[in-house]
Amino acid sequence: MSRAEPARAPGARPFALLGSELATLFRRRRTIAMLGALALVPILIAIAVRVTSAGSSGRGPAFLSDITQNGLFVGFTALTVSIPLFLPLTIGVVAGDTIAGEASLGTLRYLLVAPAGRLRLLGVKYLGAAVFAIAASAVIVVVGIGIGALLFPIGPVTLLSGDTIGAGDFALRALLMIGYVSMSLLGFAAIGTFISTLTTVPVGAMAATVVLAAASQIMDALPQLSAVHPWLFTHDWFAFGDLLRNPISWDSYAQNAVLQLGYIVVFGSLAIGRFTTTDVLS
Amino acid sequence: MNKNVKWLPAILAPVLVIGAVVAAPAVARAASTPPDKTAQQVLALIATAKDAAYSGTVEQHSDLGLPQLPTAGPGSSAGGSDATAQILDLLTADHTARVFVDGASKQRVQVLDKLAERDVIRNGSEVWTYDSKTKKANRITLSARSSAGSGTPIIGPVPNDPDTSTPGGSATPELQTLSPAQLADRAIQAITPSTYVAVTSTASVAGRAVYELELTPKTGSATLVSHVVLSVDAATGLPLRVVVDARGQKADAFSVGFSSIDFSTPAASLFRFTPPTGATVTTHTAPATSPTKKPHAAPNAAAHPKPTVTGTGWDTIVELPAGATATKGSSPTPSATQSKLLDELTTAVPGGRALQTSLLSVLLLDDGRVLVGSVPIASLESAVQ
Repeated sequence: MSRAEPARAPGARPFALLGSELATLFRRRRTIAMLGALALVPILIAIAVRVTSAGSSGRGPAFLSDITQNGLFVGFTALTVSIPLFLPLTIGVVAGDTIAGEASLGTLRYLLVAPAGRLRLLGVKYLGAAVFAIAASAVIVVVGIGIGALLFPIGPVTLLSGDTIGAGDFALRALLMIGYVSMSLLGFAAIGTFISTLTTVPVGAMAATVVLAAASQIMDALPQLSAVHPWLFTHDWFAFGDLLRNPISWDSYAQNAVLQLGYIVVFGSLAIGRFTTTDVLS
Repeated sequence: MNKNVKWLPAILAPVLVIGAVVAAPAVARAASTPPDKTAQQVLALIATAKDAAYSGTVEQHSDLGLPQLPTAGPGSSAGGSDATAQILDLLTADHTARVFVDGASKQRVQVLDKLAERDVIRNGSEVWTYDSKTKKANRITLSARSSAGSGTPIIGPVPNDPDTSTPGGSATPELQTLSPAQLADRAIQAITPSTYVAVTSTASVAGRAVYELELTPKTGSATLVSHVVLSVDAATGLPLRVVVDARGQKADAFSVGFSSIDFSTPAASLFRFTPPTGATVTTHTAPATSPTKKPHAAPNAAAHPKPTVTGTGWDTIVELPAGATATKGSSPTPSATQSKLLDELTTAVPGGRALQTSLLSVLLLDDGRVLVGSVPIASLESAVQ
């Protein structure tokens, strides 16, 4: 949203602001480059496994040894590799840029001149980051399945429980997995949006957001801090594997939804408090 | 003034979230208190739950005073293939398992690891095990006799309780003909000389009202066990949780119990297992007679000398003679990594090395003898003479 919208009566086109925000976001070269980089993860994994004919079972990231037998696992391996760093990095860039980016370009005050209201602008900015999270995880899974089908034989998928499922069930679980991974990034995007309201330097907001994701994951790896583990927004990031069990274990899905909702409520209201009271000078 | 109002949601939101977190368990705990029962009646209730059908999530947590290892990155093989490290992982790490049970002959246990799973599926006389990390499946065919035996699935390591295991282990054929009430009386008679037994009925586990059977050793500080609490579902008699507390430790030393349970019959397809393509399948057949019977044990008698048991009740010490442990593993000298890990865990004592956990002490003597007991190390050392 680098360009100012012409003033329009609010309510006439309720999704105009969101549509324009999404169009601007996904037309940016940076956004396209980040999605391209995420798409490269499964492509690189698939080519590497294809060229070297895979390592022994039980080594490397989860599902890596499954790839040679079933190309559909490329998407899952890529997801496992991307979750700790690449996904939070790209979401951190988008979420950290939401408000601070406009402020640093000097376009924030023009946006606020339009009769959109600060609350609505903040909501639209957050939704933009959320849509990017969905796009990012979808790109990894879909490109992974595609490249896997291209380079390797595909067939019925073996679940972690040892049971086998057909194509329809697999498509459903892949969709659920995209949903799960993007949902587990929503709380993180809310934190990024809040940090973005604190500063006019977008790089600072991005860096702070990404560092928080790393810090949270480090805390999650220390057993001495097990008391705070269920409260960390990264705690359930890897529980997407529960969708590959038979029957599907919904516990982590529900638990993660509640956790992310808590983060959205707390950091969303903090962002509202900050953004509606601050003096916009740039 | 106006600015303060706009910060209001930011102040209220954390309060709301914390309030919801505190209130949610309180609402779930609203289970009614069941009628009072004696310890015998509770034990008889357990015996009636043999054919129950249910599914649920079981959580195991241990705090044995052993070093905790950080769990590394995505889908890492925590502990790896090393046997000692795997045992260490079993003892120190927490585990979550899903359990599906349909009567005495159909069970499925899924140990949920991070992006991995270990399964045990039993359907009548056929038992499958499957490990998603190694892609190895084992098929075990039980003989008619052993498949008719006790139907309770074993979830994780069962706490080492000498009192309750002794009567069950030695007299299995006889016990099958006893009624639940008689069985309960026998168990109580066996326990009471060494243990105080108390029953409370105010607690709840996984949202169900339970009877809590509390066993406290009479021996005092001679044993490391402070007390054992067994929670039994008041309606069905299914044991829902076991907690073992160690002397001088605030946190539970070991606990395994349901975090959620559903008493509807699980889908029949869950108990039918076909190994996936690409899995290594090994087939075993369980011996026709039970392994404790003579014909099977005779050839190995020389290789496995009988352990000596000193003491009774909670402060029992088991002494494994030299050679008993060495012959179990095929290689007499443990691998370099294994012995290094063992050195880090144990401390040197006169005549050998000792491992002290909050529930169990192990003394490895230089001459190959191994002493194990739920007692302080000093008691093991004095038992050597």
